Amino acid sequence: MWFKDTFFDRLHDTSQLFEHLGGSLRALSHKIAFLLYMQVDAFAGLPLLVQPKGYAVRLQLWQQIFFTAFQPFRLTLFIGCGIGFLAIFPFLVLEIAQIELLALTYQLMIYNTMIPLMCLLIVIGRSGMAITTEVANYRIEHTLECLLSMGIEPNQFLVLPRILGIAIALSLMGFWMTFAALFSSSILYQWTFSVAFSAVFESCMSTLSFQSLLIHHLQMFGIAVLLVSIHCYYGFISLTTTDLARNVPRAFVRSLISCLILIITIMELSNG
Amino acid sequence: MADCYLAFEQAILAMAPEPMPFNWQVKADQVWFIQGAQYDGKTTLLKSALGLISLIDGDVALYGQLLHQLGPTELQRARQHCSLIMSRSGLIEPWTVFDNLALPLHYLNLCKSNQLSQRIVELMQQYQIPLSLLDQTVNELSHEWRQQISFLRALATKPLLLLVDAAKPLRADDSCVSQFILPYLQQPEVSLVMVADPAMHQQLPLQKHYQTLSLQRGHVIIEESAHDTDAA
Repeated sequence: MWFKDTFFDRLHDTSQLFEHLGGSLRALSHKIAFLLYMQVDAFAGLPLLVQPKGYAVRLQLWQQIFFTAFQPFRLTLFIGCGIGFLAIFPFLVLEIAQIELLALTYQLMIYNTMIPLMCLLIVIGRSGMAITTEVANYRIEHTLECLLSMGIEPNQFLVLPRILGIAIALSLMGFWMTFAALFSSSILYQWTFSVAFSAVFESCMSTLSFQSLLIHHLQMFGIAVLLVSIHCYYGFISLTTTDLARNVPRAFVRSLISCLILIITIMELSNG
Repeated sequence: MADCYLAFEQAILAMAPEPMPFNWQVKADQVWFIQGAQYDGKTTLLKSALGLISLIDGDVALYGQLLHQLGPTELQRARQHCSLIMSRSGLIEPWTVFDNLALPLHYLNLCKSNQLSQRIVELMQQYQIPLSLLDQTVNELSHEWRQQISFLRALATKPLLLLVDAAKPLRADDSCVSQFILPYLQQPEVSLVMVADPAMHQQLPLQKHYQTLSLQRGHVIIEESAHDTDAA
């Protein structure tokens, strides 16, 4: 009797587990399908960028680039200087005066890992949250219905300029942050080991190959697609201000985890 | 352009519990007042008319084209001759009033770029809205101004079919009715579907044929035309 009860209880629990797993899988597949449709539909609007009627899309693209890349310019430079200091800190403490080793550190750790990661944190914190809130407001204020009734596709109008704007902004931020990191490292290196600033700067720059630049830009584009899709998704599913308050932190966590996985995967692949 | 602007055939609105199927047509020069309590399906009906919400069953035709058979581009084209005004303003808040008004004109190629400013100024003057609002962002506007700009944007495309939803049924003494709807209805071939107060038709000096559609939990009841009754 004891065995039977336990067995049937376990069986019941197991069936519930499978039901739960099935429900979760269905929800996940629904979410992935939604994201894929959003991305395909958004990129179908690429011709709008050159058409006269795409004025509003181009306007939003410039606004997104300005808001994401130019407004936090000083913050980006400051964080870049911080990364440069962290990169050189062990060399200063352990008194390792090897420029080649510093250049290798930049190649392995800074260009395609630390800098995308820090850019990602700035962009998620500023632009990602703003995108979720803005899209949710459009949903709550019935702007999406009005756009559709005017024959305007919301994915092409709202999602596309944000993906492209954030991809361009991330590349620009990556460039500024790299420059600031190299600058601060070279200054500190010169100050500590009395090596010419230009020698340190050029040595670290020499490890920036065409391949690493390509990987860097692809990585930034991938981050932009993931980040914008996730933040727009959470904006689109927010029907009330209460939903919005719940979904903003969710969007932050999901996009951060997804982009981290992307950064680590690309780092692993590029470093063999 | 087809004489029948909007047609529902054996349509069941996407509501729970599932309502009865209904047939409904909106023809040129008709005015329809939609009546019903909260959650009776007024917004669902208007959204279904443009294919923004799918029906449980049945067909919707816009200008003679069945919506479920249209591709995205054809659907966009079919919707261009309609305007939907929702209970909220539906404006793009960070943009200026000018950019909001220019959006449909530019996107639908209804106006050349060099004539855009002139067209918008004419529109503002026609409906007596101060031109000083043009440079203000929507965030800076009061609720009343937002509603007026929302009506103006909807009328800017010169729609043949105007669908007006409202959180509270519109009354004849509402400013948007006298300022926008009545003057616009003077034009030939324009039809209106509007969530309105039951006494609306007695108070409005309408020249057009008007009817009432009542909704009760998604069930559609089409009432006898008041205009026809008067004529009889």
